[in-house]
Amino acid sequence: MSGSAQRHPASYRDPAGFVFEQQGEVYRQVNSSYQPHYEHLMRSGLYQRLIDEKLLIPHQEIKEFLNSDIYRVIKPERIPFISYPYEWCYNQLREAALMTLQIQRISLEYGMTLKDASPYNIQFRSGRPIFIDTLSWEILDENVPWIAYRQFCEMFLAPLALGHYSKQYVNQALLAWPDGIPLSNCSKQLPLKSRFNIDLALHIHLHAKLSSRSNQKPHSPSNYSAEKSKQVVRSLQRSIEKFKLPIRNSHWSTYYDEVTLRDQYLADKQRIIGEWLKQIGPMEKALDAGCNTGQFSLSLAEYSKQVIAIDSDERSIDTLYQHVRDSNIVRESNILPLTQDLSNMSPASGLLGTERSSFIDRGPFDLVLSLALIHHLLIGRQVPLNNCVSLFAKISKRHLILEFVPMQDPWAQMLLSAKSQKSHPYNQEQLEEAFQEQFKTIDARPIPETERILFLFERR
Amino acid sequence: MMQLIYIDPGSGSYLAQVIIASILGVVFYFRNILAMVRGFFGKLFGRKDAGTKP
Repeated sequence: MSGSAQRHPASYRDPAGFVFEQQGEVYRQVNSSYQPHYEHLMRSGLYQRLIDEKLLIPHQEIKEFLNSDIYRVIKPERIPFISYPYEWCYNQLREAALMTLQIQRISLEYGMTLKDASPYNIQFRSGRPIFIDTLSWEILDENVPWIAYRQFCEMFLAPLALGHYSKQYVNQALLAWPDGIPLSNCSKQLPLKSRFNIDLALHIHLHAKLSSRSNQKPHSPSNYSAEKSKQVVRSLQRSIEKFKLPIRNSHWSTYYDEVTLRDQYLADKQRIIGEWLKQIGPMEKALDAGCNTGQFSLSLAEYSKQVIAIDSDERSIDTLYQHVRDSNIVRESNILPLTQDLSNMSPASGLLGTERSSFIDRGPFDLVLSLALIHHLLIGRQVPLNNCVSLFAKISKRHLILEFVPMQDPWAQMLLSAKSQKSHPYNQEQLEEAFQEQFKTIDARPIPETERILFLFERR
Repeated sequence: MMQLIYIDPGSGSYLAQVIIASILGVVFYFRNILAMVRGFFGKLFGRKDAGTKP
């Protein structure tokens, strides 16, 4: 690594190597100590198999930066937008878990094993999960159990089991527990019937009991075998395949169904936004803030290489994720749905607060689309207008399309009636004036037969 | 309780895994027998899909 290279702040744990950035490019240094494992990965055919099955990020070996201490430098394909498990919906975490097990199953066939089973090694690209840590493999010692077993149970199995049995979204708990939900905690929270599921009875409940004993010797490999390793993976796979969290009954995911009576309203909005997007032209990165099930994210995807679609309602995100994953339209796979609350975005976290970056630091976006959202901030979250302007100025690099919902709008009234406290009053003039601080108005179009107005703003 | 924090979380619950894997081995063994029995009776009574389940 030469002087100007920047070591990635999250890449400090693994003695096998680390990630660094130079001139906007991402590289991974492979240390000499990792040589036998790296060679086995590359020569056994495992690497090629994982690439062919689109499970691992492909890389090139680079001649630059090499010296006697550095065995290899590799340049992996770049992930356009980094996301974290506490921002994923249930099915994103579930599929990342199944993919990890699939990789482990294949690795065992090639005499290797995963030494990490962390969702932080997985990212979403083209609508699907992909494994990004090329140095996660070790040559298998058949007598030794899976080193990443406990990590897998705490980081994947525990939140997925809790979600499955409670029918609630719990992925955000991973923000509080970056190393996963402790098994003893998960075991106590799961209902009695989970104990009658043989796989969970073993991997969560018995596992929690056994690991709470302090007299176990951590490094005493005993009579283990490759067959046992396979059985453990198969059993984990079987339990996760059965997990599901229904996406119906959400307040928001039925939103479009409710407004089908207002078909014309959606069509008018679609038409105006379509005209503006055409006028703005192609862009790199757009944000659909308050995307719901993503009807407008799909329009954005026609113009933006990357669309981040966020909503605080996990079920809407789950619906959109499943749509994107199964879509045959190439551009739609550029949409990355994430759970995110605009009034409480993901913070920076980890060692020194630099390991995982905040949502704001992963922006700003060329265009921010904020439809039928502002009244939720103003009334629902009681965010004053000026703070809303600062928020949008922080996340938008150039354009902002904002739907103004007046206080007398029936939906705004519904929010108001549920509030015991008085919220900050606002009207169209005040909104326009407040936004003038940071944005200039390019266009403003009323949506016919409603009192709502669409604004196209540009950053000053 | 104090000793607990000295267990390396990276150890991957070796001991627990050895025990869990042994139990799973027994479970798989009986499942296979059950599948064979089902397959046998399935053939006997001419059910087409019998025996295909693991």
